[in-house]
Amino acid sequence: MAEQEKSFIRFDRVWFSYRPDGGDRIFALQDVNLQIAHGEYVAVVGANGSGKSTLLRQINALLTPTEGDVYVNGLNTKRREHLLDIRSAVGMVFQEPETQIIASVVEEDVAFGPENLGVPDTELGGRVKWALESTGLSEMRNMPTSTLSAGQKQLLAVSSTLAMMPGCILFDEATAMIDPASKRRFIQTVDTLRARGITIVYATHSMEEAARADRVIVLSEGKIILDGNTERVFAQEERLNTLKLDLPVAMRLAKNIHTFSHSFPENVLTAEALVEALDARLGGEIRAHHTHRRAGEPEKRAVYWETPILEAKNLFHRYLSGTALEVKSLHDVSLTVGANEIVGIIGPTGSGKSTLLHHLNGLLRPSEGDVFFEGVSLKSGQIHIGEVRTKVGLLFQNPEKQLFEQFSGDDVAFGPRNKNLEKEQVRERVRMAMEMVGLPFSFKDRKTSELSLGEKRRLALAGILAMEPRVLVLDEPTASLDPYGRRQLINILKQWNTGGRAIVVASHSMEDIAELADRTYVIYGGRLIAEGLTRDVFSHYDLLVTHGLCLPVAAEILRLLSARGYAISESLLSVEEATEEIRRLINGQENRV
Amino acid sequence: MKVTNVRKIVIAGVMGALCIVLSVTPLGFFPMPTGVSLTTMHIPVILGAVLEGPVVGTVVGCIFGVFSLLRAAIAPQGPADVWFVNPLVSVLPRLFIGIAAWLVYRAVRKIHEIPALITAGIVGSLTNTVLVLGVLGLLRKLPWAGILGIAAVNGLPEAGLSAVVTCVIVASWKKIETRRKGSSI
Amino acid sequence: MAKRTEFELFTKLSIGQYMPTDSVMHRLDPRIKLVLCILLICAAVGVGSVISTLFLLVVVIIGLFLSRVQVRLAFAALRPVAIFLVILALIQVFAVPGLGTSDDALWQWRFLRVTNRSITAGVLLVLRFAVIVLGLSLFSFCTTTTELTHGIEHSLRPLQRIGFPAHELALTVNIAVRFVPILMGEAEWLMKAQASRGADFGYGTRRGFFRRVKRLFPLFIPLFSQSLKHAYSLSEAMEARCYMGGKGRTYLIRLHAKSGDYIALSAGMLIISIAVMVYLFHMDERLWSMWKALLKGGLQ
Repeated sequence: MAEQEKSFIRFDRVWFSYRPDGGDRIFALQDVNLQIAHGEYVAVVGANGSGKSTLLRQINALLTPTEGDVYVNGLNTKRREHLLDIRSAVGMVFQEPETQIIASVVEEDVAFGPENLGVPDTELGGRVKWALESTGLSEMRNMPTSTLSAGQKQLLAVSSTLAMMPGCILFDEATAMIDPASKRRFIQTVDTLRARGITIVYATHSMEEAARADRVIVLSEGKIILDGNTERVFAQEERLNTLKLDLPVAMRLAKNIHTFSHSFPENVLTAEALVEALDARLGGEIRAHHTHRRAGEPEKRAVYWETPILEAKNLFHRYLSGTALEVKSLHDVSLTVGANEIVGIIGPTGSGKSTLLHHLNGLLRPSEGDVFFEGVSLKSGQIHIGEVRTKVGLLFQNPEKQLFEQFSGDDVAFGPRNKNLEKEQVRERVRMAMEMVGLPFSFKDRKTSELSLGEKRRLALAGILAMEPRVLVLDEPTASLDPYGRRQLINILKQWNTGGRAIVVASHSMEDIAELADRTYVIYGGRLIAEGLTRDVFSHYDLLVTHGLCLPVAAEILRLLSARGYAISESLLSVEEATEEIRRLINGQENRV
Repeated sequence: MKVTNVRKIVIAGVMGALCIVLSVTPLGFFPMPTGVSLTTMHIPVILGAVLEGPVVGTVVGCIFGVFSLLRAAIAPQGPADVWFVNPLVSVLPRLFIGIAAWLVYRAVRKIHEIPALITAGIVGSLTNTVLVLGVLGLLRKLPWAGILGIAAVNGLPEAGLSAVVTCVIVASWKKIETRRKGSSI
Repeated sequence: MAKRTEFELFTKLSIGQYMPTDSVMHRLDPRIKLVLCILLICAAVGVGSVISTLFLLVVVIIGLFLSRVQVRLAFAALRPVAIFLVILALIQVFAVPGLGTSDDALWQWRFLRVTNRSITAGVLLVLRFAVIVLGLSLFSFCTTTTELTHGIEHSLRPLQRIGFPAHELALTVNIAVRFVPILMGEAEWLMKAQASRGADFGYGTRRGFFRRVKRLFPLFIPLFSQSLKHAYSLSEAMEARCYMGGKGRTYLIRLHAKSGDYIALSAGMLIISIAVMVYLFHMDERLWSMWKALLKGGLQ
């Protein structure tokens, strides 16, 4: 029994299964055994559906094991009388910013937890103050919660949890729905909490975020496959790949470098560490004495097609609102898309990316300016708005929300049916669309509700493809997907594009844009800041940073190296290119300036 | 606190919000060739009652009623608003929608879910129509002849609409097995 | 001017504007404001005397002046319905049977009858409406939503001792208020997303009742499931933060009524009492008789 008290959290042969309404029994956790000590920083990774969220919810007793036991500070989570103690010791930050905020005013939300615990009135004020200071939200104390950005809302959730003074905080993919700039701030906050000795259990899809932890637990289909020191877990590359997981980019680079420079350490986890290691390896010999940083703007590329398939000219959009609701607008934004190009749009949250996309298929009408499809103005009325919406297919962010039919096939058929096509034609379109997204036609009889997130995402995409658009416009297509799902989707898009069709994609994921887009536009505050070849845009680091954006990790590493004085060509995007560049440095052949 | 109680509080709140949203957007109005629209804003009350019981149904009904009173008073738009500033017309009848719908649902449920949902939708909607119009009649705001006319022309189709919407929504959410075994393509 | 498409819903959400002009009315304890408001509505509805209702109207207008909000803003709310108001009042006067016996008819033509009582009913309709509209406008000008929910919660708190779930109900209202913009956003999202798939929400065509109803499904079904999913997420979050209802809870914000609040409360109750008394003592009839007598006397 003395052993029980040593660990903070203990799972003892835990099984968890449930039966979703009338379906088959699903085993979400199978024979899970683990112990977490005070002060540990544990990352939990695994593909979608591997059981991460279920595991976390066992710890704060939102779920209890079907078999086996979970102990928190020696208290069994199955016992109702311990619930209060357990939940005040273990707090949780959820994925969705909006639905974990309970009050309408910031300080009241932070106070909610301690109020429930019966903390005396006189102490409440102090706790709220302290909790807000810990996340840097002190100024927002009296603001309505609806005015916070998604990133701020997540920080508020941390404050609100912190106010209960838990010994452990669980993070259930807490950064999945916030933009990169907010993500970094969030991660820094987590580091601060960790430094205070709070135990952290961090479930995530992001390998970079997982790499910051001391210990990594890898789940697959409810079972713990790997559990140990971060470096050791990530060293098992093949194992991780079979589980549909990736390595952090920095680590992949390190391994690549190791193949031609055998003294270079393989197990480097973070970008900073990699840069340090490279600095040490290169010994500062071939440092140039000026940093090669591109100032100014990327070069606008001339458009060589006769008529771009889609063009927006000088769009202005004013979104009128009376109360404290967001005002989105566009100021003089222009965009061209060639017949088989992939065009990327990047910009921080609230910059107007979505508003711009909604103009492209005529959903929104600009206050000034116009949109042209195949040279025909949308305003002129020469082209019917229904036609535009068919030919310019728009896939919204988190499109799973739009699925409403009971059976998958019917939902894909919704688009074609709205066009009053013959039954055979509809069937054919649905079949082709589903195959294009990698779903077998037999899935048509599967219930929509039973599909996984990745499958639903692809089903929604199929629904758009079934309308046979000439241009696909996508808003954050890989949001919330696990690395495998992301890879699948990117391949589907690339495949579709080879058929000579154009794509416009807006994304926070710099990796996605780097891989997909030939040309990229940068939007900020409703204005077009820059445009050009993707490589070119990404090499203008200062421009991106001042506008709240960042680089793909590989490019970021090179940028850090260049900041230390190494001569690096900054127009590099992928891990492979980065590897080559570093190899060149190490071989010390040429001095490229 | 029991799980179910927290859930009831939240669902009551969310369904109440849904009533409000339907009241202020085009979604709440289903235009008919007669020119008058059928309304759908009472449906979340029925949904709340069917899913979580009569207490939740009554609370949602109360939120719906009070909101219709507030809107009638602060931003009146049509003739109905002139009457709705009276809580006896706007709030009191709405308190019963949930209970009525729930009682019927529970009774018919023993046969099968789908007819239970349909009847709950019909009864809930009719309760709304009959009680509101009834109060107007009792308070001598409208002649009874007129009331019967409105009840027939508006109330009956509205009940039909409520029945269909209630049935489809709850069947979809609860994943109730329907006769179809697969997609129709 | 921007031609707004059918998808921009948020512009419709301005019910009850809070006007931050900081007046005596603004600084009143929200509980007092709430109680007085409810009493006002009850009085306006229950008291069938023209004089009383006029009196209440005057009091409300004075209140508007005290609040330093432009009085014409409140009256502006009446404008859109002015016509309906008149029509409905006329219906009361002419067309509703049962108001007064056949002896009373001042004028009659087929089924249209005008009696003393029906005239009173018509006038009362207009006055009551004005009182409630202006009264609630006044209330919404001076009270923020947060104050309102605090007011509700605090007023109901004493009932907690007898087991009444005051905090739970207040929380329900709070959640409802919070979720309105969220659900509006979801509704707007769905309208856009489904329209992008070719869904047609133009109900204009008469192609059969059930076919038109089917067009609602791509909106209603996902809207509802999203709402419920949000509800479940929120309840998880509340449980994770140990919500257990009103018992044993402490409060960051406690309302403290000041002497000014009690004075206002007393004044309010006095006013309401006067209005009720005027009604109960049939002051209307007495004044009307006195007026008729004066006229007769004057004519002689």
